[in-house]
Amino acid sequence: MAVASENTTQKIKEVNPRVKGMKDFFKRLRKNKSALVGFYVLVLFFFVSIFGALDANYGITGTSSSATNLTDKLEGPSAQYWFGTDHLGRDIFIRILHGMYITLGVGFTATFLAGIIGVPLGILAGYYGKWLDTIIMRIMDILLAFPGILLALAIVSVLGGSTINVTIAIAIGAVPQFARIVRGSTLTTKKLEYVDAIRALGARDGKIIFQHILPNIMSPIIVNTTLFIATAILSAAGLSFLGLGVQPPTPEWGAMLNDGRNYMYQAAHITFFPGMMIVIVVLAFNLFGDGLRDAFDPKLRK
Amino acid sequence: MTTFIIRRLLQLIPVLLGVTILVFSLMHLTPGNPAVIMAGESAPEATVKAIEQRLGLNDPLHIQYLNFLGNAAQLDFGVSVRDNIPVFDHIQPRFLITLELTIYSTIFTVVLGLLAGIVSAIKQYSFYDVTLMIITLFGLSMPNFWLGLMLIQWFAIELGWFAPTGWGNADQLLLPVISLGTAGAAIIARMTRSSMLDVIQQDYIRTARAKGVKERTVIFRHALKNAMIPVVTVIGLQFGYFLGGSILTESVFAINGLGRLIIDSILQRDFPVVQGAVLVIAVSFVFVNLIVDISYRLLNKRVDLN
Repeated sequence: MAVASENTTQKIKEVNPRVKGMKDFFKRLRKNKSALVGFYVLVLFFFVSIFGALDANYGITGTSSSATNLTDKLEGPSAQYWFGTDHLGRDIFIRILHGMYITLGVGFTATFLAGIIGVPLGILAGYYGKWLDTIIMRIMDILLAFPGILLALAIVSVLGGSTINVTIAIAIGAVPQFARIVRGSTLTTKKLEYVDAIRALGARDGKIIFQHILPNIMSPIIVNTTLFIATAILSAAGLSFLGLGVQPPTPEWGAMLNDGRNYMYQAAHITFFPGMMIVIVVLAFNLFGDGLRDAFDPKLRK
Repeated sequence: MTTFIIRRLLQLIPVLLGVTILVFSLMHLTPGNPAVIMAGESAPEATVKAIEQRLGLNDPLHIQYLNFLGNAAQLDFGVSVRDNIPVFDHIQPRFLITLELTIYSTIFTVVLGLLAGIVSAIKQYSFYDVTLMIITLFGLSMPNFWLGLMLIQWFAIELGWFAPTGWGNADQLLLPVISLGTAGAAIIARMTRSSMLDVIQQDYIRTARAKGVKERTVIFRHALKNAMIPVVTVIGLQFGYFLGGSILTESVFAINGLGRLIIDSILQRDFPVVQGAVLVIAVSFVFVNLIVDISYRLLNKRVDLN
């Protein structure tokens, strides 16, 4: 009996287009070298940032991102200080390591929050249409009227600068982007014949949305989540750079750039390394996100 | 076409109302009494009361909003908390500088992005194409303020070719423009490349080639014209985003534009100036988007923008 059911599951897996689609998807993703590079960098950074977070809060290596050493201030990279020291003699390498989880954490959390709010709004607008669609999308248009970091900046100016407030501000700014994309995909999926057929069979809206619409729109959601984390990291670094985001002495990378800009004539490395790290992280998300998009939709590939 | 424009203009009304409500709420959600900040912490209560009276802070909220809306429509954003100068007088010269920076950056973006994208598409998979695509990926991933800092480091401090800060002189223009425009140039290069590749594969281009039309004519007269349609939208959007992105660039290069005014005013809690400047940027952005929509429609008559 057990054997028979195993066989059946196997058969279902072979026939089920979704399972087969996933197999093809991973095959395509594995073939995409730049996406893989992005993926491995992200995995590496993920573990490094966990180590950095533990080290920053529980002192594994006994180093500190806030230990000042004024005799060694503004020193260039050396064997002792890999990325040099800043104006207070703090070790920049250690600061980057200890700040990594903040940079990645703000990016992830802001994007996650935006998705939690934006995806349901997009589905509601796309699925139910009519006045609900008009109201939701007009509100999204209002939020979209503030280009770039302007909305996040305005929100932070009200809430005050802190790690949590920056995360909230960026999340609010990102909600309309999720809502727009999800609404578009929902509209397309809703028009598919089989969705009509299921509805004709008497399926409820909730069942249609969760079992049929949502799985079909997962790929644009996943791709945009990945790409949006990159944008969120850039925005967070920008706000902190302006002194309105994560506050010193927290070793957030944008805030470190803000520290370093006053010492560019004496010590260029203070601004070089944190910025380079932002570039690498954002690049990795962009590579992986582009790869996901190509793997989900091979027709788009050039 | 006229009905389309009228319909789009009507759609703007709720958006603009929403934007003003949002900007108006800024001041009222901010902790602290603006009248106290304006009068100074140690000012006597009577002074604070007088200022509250003058700003109408004791009126019901909806009356305050209607006043705000009515005044904003006449470009009256109140007076600065810092120096009692009308907000409009603060904004106007700064807006012109930001607009200049935005326009130059757009030109830089378009010229560089288009050229790079076209060459890449013509020579697909060549060494040039691959290199360019890698460079554009970096361009997309770089924070524009960090690029600005690095440009200052190399070209102003080390080489001394350009001024590290400021705006207006010839040696002050290029670095901010590169800093603000690079990401946009990368986006447009990628868009142009993929759009050109799409068009080049189409039948009418093959027909033109088969007829013996010169390759240059095929590319520039037949292909580019159609490939430009999606690119134009992106160019318009870039222009809009530069209005917002200039906040960081202006801060790096100490340019006295609208963005720097916003930052300074936020730090000094000068709310009327923040409100006025944010509103000006948002409304400009909304109208830029309208122009983009209309030109997209004009370029591509087949599109039905419902």
